[in-house]
Amino acid sequence: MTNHFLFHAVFLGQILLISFYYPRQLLGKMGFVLENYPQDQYPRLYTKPAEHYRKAQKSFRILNRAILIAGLVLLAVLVNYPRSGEWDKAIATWYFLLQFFPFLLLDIKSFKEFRRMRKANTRGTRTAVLQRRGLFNFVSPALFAIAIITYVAYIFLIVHINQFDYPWFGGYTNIVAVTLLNLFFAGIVLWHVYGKKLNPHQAHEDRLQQTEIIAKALVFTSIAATLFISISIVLSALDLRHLQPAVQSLYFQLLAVLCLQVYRTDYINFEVYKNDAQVT
Amino acid sequence: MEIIIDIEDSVPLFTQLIEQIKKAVLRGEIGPGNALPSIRQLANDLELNNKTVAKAYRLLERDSVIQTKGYRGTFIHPDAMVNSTVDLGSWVTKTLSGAVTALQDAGVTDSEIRIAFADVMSSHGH
Repeated sequence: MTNHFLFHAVFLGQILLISFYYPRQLLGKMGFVLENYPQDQYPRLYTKPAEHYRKAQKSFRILNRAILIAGLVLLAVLVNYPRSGEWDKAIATWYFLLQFFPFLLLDIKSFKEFRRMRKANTRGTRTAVLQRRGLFNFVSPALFAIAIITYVAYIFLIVHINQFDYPWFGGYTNIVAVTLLNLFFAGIVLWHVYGKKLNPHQAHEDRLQQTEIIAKALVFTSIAATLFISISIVLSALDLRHLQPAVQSLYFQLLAVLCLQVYRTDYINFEVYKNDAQVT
Repeated sequence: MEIIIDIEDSVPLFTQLIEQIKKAVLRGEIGPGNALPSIRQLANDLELNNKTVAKAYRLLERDSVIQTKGYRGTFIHPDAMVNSTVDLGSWVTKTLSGAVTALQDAGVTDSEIRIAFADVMSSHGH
């Protein structure tokens, strides 16, 4: 019963953080940009009429509210129905995926918006700063070293646990999975460091800042993912599997805190979205 | 230091790149030993073909304005300041026009000059 109570409390946190707090923050930022950087003064910021963005904002709000209500109803049902811990893990995971769906849609819309921006960009000049970029311009060597040490420690943990014949243990597949995950993160970071600029109007400093936010978030996510899997394995080995659903839900909340950093707008130089004639 | 490439300009893109890097060296905006972006990074930032940037870097390296240090990347050459003032393109034009004038004065026809030029170039393996 105590375990269920712990999970319910943590799951409530997951519902409120990802489907209430963050959407509210993000909607506030969207509203602030639409209000303070209107289309007539910042034409390069928009490729469609303002109504299109207000509609997208409304859809995002409705979708998140629906997911929030569904989560609260689900929690109310869970409180009244006893079940196994495996169910709780599955519920936390599937609900987390559902919670991320509106953010995924928002990202797809952003990619489409950038594509339209690139098509509409009629400037004959292209600029670049003659400065080499590298991973350590964005992530401190210390943080990177911590990520490497965490990964190596994880490998040692898997090798150690593999000596015992736990029926639930997946063996070296765990190493393969985490390695692939880290390679995926590394690919995204490298793409942001060296790849093409998605937003053709983005100021150089903004790009550097954005790359730093993404790179740091992904290195932290890599560390968090490795630690989470390690903790899950240790909990299973210590026969504390009943704590796993709560740990998993906490991990999802941590992931949300890390990943949703990319929606920061405080560093953006909006002057670049004015027409050339307007820029002083 | 910002590079600006005008894609509508009649000056070839790689030439614009070379000129701007040389100007940056002459103005002291980048100095000996400073690291330059990789070919891929600069090509992506300027939305140019990798080959265009590679060609500019190759010619700058030939002129000893930049130097490539293997996997460590590309850097500004220690003698870049002096070498940036040397314009091999205009030197070639000046040398060739002197030779062409001398040949024309001797009565050689334009087609004979072209054929001879092509023969000389092919004998040099280009």
